[in-house]
Amino acid sequence: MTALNEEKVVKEVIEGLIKRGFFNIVFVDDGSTDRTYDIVRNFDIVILRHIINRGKGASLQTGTEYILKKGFKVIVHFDADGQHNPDDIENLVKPISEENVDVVFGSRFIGSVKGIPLLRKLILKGGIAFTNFLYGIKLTDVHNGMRAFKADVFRKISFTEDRFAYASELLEKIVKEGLKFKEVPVTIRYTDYSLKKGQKNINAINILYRMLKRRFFA
Amino acid sequence: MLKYQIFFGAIVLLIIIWNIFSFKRGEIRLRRFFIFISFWLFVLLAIIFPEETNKIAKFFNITRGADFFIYISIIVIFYTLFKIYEKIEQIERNITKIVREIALIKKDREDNF
Repeated sequence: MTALNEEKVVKEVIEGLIKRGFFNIVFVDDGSTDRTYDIVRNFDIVILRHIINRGKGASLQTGTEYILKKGFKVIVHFDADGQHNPDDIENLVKPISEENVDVVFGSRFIGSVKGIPLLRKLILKGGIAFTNFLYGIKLTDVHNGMRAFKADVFRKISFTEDRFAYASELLEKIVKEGLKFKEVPVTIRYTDYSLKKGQKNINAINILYRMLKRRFFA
Repeated sequence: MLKYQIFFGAIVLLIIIWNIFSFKRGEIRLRRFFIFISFWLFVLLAIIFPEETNKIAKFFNITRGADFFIYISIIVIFYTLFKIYEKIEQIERNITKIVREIALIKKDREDNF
């Protein structure tokens, strides 16, 4: 789990996870300047702290490196802004243990999505179609922050994209490495808070540029 | 020699001298020094013999030498911007590595305390 300035919701999100029995939480505070770190310190979880903000991709890589050192077998990405539902984690992890899948992506479009603005939906759908075309895959959701991995996957791939373009980088590397992946339905709940805090629509242009650059010039 | 030739010629000469000193101080590498000097010598020649640039421009089917220079300048500026952008990206990646290392080392220390 990674977070930047989530003092308003982070307590509730972590409590939700712990209540459902998920105790092995690695939390990366990505240079928060509000009370996020002080709030999270009250929980008995692993906290890594970036001294300055480096982005979601950078934070996930930090958490991953710690997890690999500690020898955990499965990694689940879970957003700290309250968009994700902890009840989905079990379904997300199941294909790893039961079907020997390497990566499981959560999909809001085969699951359910609440409160998504039309423009955001259109941008996401456009991004999904383009990503599928570029990498020759068939996914229904590509920028969903909820995913599960066999930890060993990260011995083959890593995040070099510091910001939000990490998601398409991840997908590209998974396809290149020929890893087995699957989608399962998850619920995403957009709130005024998460929309205000999360990715901006304009960021899609930057992600698109970086995808093309990696695909054709890397 | 016209006034503008003296003025711009002097500026370019100063840039060339500054480049030579930078190279001597080891601030720029041989390859970059060679590219810079070649470029500025070309600019100097174009200032001293402006009518010659018309010939080069005509070779590329451009009417005036001055237009040719503007096109070349735009290409050079965009290339420079691109190189700066690449350099910033590299620096950003290095900053991330340092920040990550600090986070992991701090955690390690906490765990072993």
